[in-house]
Amino acid sequence: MYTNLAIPRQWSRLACFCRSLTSVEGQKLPQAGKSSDGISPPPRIPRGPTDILQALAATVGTDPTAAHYKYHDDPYLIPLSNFRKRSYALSAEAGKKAAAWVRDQHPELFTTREWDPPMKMKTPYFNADPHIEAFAPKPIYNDETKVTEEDLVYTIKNALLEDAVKVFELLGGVDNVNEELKLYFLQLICFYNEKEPVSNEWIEERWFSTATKERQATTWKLGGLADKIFTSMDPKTPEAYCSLIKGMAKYYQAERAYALSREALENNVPLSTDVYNSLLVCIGFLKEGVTLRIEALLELLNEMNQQGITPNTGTLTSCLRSLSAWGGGKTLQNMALQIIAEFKNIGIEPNLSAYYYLLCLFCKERGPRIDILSGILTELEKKDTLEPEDVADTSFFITAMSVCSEHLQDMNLAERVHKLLMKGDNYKLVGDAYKESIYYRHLVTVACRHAPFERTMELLDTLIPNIYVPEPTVMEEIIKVLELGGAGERLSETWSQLVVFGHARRLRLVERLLDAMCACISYQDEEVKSKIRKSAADMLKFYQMVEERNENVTTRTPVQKLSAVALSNIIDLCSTGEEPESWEAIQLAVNELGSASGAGRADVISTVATTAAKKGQHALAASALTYLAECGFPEAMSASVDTLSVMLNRSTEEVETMLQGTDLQGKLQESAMAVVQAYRMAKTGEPLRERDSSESSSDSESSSDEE
Amino acid sequence: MLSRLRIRQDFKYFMRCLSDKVPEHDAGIPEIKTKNAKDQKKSSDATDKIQSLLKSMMAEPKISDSEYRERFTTAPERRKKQKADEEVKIEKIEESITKAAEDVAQALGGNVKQTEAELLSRVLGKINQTSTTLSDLIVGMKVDRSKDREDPAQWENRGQQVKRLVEKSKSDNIRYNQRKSTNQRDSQQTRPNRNLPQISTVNIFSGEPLGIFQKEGPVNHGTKLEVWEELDKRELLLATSQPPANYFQKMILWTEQGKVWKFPINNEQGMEEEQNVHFSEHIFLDSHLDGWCPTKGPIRHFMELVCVGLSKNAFYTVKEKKDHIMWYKEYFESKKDILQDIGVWDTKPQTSEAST
Repeated sequence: MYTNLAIPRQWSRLACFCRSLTSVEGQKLPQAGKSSDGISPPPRIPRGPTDILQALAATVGTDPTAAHYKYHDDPYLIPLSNFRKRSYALSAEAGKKAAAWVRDQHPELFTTREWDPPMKMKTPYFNADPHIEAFAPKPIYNDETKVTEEDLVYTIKNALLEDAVKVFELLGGVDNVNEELKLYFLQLICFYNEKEPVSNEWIEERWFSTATKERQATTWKLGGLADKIFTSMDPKTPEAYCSLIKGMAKYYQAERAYALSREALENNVPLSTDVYNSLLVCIGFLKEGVTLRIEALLELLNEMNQQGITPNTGTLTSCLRSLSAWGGGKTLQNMALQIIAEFKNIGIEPNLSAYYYLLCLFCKERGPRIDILSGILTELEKKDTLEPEDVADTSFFITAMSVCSEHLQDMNLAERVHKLLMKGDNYKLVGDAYKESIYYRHLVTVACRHAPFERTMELLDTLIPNIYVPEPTVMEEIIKVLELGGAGERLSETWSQLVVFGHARRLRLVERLLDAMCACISYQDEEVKSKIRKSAADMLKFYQMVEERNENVTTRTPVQKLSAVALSNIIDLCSTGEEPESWEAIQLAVNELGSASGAGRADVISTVATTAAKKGQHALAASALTYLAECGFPEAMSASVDTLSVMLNRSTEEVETMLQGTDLQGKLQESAMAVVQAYRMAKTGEPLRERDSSESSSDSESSSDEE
Repeated sequence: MLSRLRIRQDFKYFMRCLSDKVPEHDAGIPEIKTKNAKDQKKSSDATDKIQSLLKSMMAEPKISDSEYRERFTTAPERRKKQKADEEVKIEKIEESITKAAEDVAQALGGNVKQTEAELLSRVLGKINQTSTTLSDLIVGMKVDRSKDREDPAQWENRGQQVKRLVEKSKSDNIRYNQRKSTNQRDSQQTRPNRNLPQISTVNIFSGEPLGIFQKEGPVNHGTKLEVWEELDKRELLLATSQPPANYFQKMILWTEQGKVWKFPINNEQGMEEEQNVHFSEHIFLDSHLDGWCPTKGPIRHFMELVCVGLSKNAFYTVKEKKDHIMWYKEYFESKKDILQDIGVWDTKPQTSEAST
């Protein structure tokens, strides 16, 4: 009994000893105090305010079948076309903006909490405790406002440029503001070139603002406030020099920037890495010709070295940016590689924007096909996360994808790029809505053109419509790939997609789709066939509706009518089935044919005439044949004979002899008579309608214009 | 019956093409070729006939070049040399492949046409059997064979070319698009033998260093611009921020904007002013009475009540509470004379200190 007890005791002692051993030589145990029970809680890890939220957010994966978070409030309103997505998001934000406007216009309504004692009202506004800056009315600065230096600091800190300028003037302008504040203010206006930046509050507005590519032109305001402040400063600090040079260089006032940097060097003013970086970007504005430019670039780098200024990643990016802006060619490309090697030597790796400029430099539209992307991807895949370092970083993925799609035409590379973008937090590097849609346009295009059918379909199913809505050109690619893949079911669904995406009025796409359907329908299952017929009939209905609307409402751009070829395609599709709806659609289409532009497909129409006659729809057959004859198709004759033979249930020879005879009036029923007339019209070859010839010639012109 | 009808139609097409009477209505060039091709499968004598017709059609346009130039604006002359023999070659390829496929299909039995179409599509990576796409197939074969097939206009003779331009609306579009698509597909299919030599891989780290900078040395980034750096960060953040994709991200955004409580939740968040003040200073306010307040009497009583009230006030800071008390101090001191007259102002600092 005793011995039994003793052994566990020994064991626990042994365990305790072992534990102490590990704590001595192994990892540092968190708790200094060793508790006898062996439980040692881990040390406290200090967490930031959003750490928990970030961990939680990381557990939410993306669901391609669901609409984006910002759209899902009301399932009925979930937008599916690009236009509607944009207006939905912007409307939601417009509401917030309106609220903010009311708040800013009437700050007196937001000054106090009701439960605050009157004595607590020590400030004019918002004495809520804690004070929440984001909810507080924005201060409005005008000529009457009494401002202090604090206001200037506030406006500079929040990048409220116009307000800052106002406050600066109210404070007494260049003469009365102290040097330190003046310097801060100078940096602000140099950074933005006296232009108000976008507010950081309206996230959707920024997301959807079509990023107009920054003009590479001298936009620096000469003799503006920045210049005045700089002249007024005495002594001129290195900071002042640096801000002004950087500002000028940023807005491409290259010569002044360069001259100022010379002046600074003469006065022994220490410059900075960033100043040199901005000067490197400007070389192209100073020198002409590749050789001179490269010389100047190397000179600047050497000068940096002499001044004892350490280069950074930005230096590398600036060099490559300059090189890529100077065109292409072997010399520049070799130079770029040398620069990269040089910086790698001193331990500086290129960042995303450097890679972006590299791609720009090597993958020219008409240049030789150079695969530099796979090397870059290998480098990037090694990294755990891609930290944005430069605003140009957001151009990397879209450029990489466009290189995949247009330059290298390689689906595997495209998939690697996409995988990289989807990794971790990298998606934020996609830029804005505009860049995102271009990115996906390239991805889908390359998939349509160069990926196996199944892979393409998988990709399309994930992306469309919640992540990406294809533009008309991409839609055309998709229709093409569906046609080549013979996917009849998807083709029939494409029509509803066109409607949902707002492309249904694009005649070109619809006609393309009809062509594709015609090409595929013959080998589809019966079920699919009927689906295709349904969507073809629906197209016809849709366009009739649109036409009615056109008549009632005058719009700026009236929708075109379906052309005769499109109509004959619809006839072709519908005539594969037996349903009454299809034949109604055929009837409609045949009626429409007369007023449609262009000429229909004679083979289809003559076949449908015969089939209609077989089904006893003589009137339909007659109108189809009349159309053929009026257009002057030679098929009209044979088709009329065939149709008549079906109608009258005689052999073709009999019909032909009968047609030789002259007096048929009264012997035949009305529709058969119409067929006979069509036959005669076709035989005599006199087109009843002059319209055809004149219109066809104008059509030919227009089509050749399109070429 | 049906096939015969079709042949007849095709002849008509053909006749129309040749006669050039109604070139506007001509929508059928792709169909001609391919329907012909289809018929080949069926009857071999028809094949021969159509073959010869095709050749004659392809080889010589009915209108001479000069005539064309007079009537239409023509595209500048393009490579014309290899055309003839290529055409023959193409026809041969088409013929042989179709024949081979046909043989296999016959051998297999069953739905001969279906099998054959499948075989052909397998060969060329397409499934289409219909007319337009079979022409597509032929085009694809062409490109496979000859290396420099960039230009769609290259494999049609001038007559077709002009007709294509004149052709009405859509048939034109089809052909154009198909050609485009075939080009693309071709570039994919034939990449191994056509494009590989063109793509040159560049190793980004293959360059020779310039040798300007030294690895070691003091790090010196020069003059620092604080505001500029802040603004840079702001712009970068704006460029990479996106609308929140779920509620947690929205919460993160709001937290960063300072609109919601920060985690971990703390009731005194945002009350930085009072953060380092001990609670006792809020509650035990009697000490502020020391030195001026009478130790007993109505004023003392009143002031103690004031202290109790203030100690329960959650909204005042300690400084405000102190100021509040001091206000009374000043008030009473200003009335000192009267108070002393009625005997309620009886401060004895010494004794009060002794008592505390």
